[in-house]
Amino acid sequence: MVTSDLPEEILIDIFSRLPTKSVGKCRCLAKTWRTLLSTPSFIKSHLARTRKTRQENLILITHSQSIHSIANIKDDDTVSRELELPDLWAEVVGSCDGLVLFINVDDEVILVNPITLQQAKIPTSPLAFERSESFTMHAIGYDSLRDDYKVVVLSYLETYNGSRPSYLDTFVDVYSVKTGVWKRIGISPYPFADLDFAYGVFVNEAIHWLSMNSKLDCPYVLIAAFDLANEVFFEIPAPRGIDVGKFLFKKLVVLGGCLCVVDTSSYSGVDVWIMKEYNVSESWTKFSMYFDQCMFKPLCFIGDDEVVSVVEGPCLVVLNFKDGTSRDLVVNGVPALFTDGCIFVESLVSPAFCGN
Amino acid sequence: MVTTDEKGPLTAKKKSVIIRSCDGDEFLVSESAAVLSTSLKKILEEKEDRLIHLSDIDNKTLAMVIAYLSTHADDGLSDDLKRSFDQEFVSGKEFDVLKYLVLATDTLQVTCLCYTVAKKMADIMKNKLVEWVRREFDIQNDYTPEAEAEIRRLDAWAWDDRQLEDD
Repeated sequence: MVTSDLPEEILIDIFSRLPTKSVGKCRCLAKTWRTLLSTPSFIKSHLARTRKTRQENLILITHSQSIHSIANIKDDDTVSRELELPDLWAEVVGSCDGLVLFINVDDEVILVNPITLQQAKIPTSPLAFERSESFTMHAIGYDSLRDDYKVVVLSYLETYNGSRPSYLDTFVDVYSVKTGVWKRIGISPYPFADLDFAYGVFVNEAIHWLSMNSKLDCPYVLIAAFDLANEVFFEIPAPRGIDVGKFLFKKLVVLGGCLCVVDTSSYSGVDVWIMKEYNVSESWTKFSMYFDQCMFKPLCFIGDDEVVSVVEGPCLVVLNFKDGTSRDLVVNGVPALFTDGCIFVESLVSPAFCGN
Repeated sequence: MVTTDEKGPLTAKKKSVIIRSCDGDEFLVSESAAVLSTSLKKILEEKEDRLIHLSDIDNKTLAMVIAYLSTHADDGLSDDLKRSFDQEFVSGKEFDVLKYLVLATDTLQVTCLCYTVAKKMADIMKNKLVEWVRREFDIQNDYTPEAEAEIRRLDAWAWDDRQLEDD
């Protein structure tokens, strides 16, 4: 019993509704409270509540390779904070339940909780190819069957050197955050294209990436999926009308919790398809707007019509899909300069091995 | 003393029950309102007795819970009206009153009211100092000042924002 007043389950109910930082402060209430507010079950209850509020925070990499976060995007006075995570950060792969997967300039893969500032380096897989000759795509997701966060790496090896073999098959390796162990799943029937800022996308318990079926006479674009719990591959139909040509100008992202395909191959602008209902091919909805950009990564909605995106510049713009207008997002009083970003939810989930 | 609930005189068709608080006051409640409490529903299913004695809920708290149940049992009210009633219901209540309420809703198993009250309590707590939380929840701080300072240093991430109130 942590207090004479209320039963523990009511206390958990109340405290799990507090903002993450308030919970952090309450960890110094007393010894028993520190324990109670750090248990995996409390962290889960807290996460479940945060998920319901659907509050999205942005994590961004600056031009000088530090990390900033934005808690509230407002029309006029959006503020970003630099996080005390000293390193030179290159890419942000994605996030899951408040854990954000980063790659630094030394190609190290690091899992970070941007709220608690805990970080854990993901060791290189013993089966990983020599980095300089291989192509990789990373992803972060959650395996609900084993209650485990997983880092997924797809890779192939192309040596350009006759004396050593290439392995052009797509190898799939999965790292378990809970056990700290890598496992080779095998070879994916769906290849991936090595593109800048293209990562596996975690939606609906599976990792997704844009792929192509070229074994048939008539090749077509598809969305490959890997179910983390059952460790099986499957296929999700790409939007109709997406052609195989200029494949490298197409990108899969997550937007508003939905799969989203971005196509910048046309000179007349960008096309954005959103799969409003998961794995329902009829639910693909297309938005087009004039915007002359090759690099374009939508991050999150503001309201129903506006989307915050990272574009070449590098900066953050707000695109209005309804009236076709765009504007720079002003952060800290100036147009925002960020090279990459993704959304995350606030959580107390630990990125470290064994949850400690 | 028998107090009718806020909906006024009960029609002959509607069954009612009498609920007695720990300090002896009795409340006449329609069965449709009473069964919104999972515990009361079980009691009513198990025995014919129309008098239910609640030994750990006081008069004042019970009156509030019954007002809530009666409003939510009223088919004439829209969901929107019920929602605004819920907001009104918890607004301006002292933290202590909310504590008794949340305990009562736990005993009576009125899940939706339990959520509403717990949410309100969290809203009040979120900008308060740790000392305030200790006081309101009757928590004995078993850290030495040095140990607490060390804990705060370890959890520095939680302390980098300000604007707290203490009252």
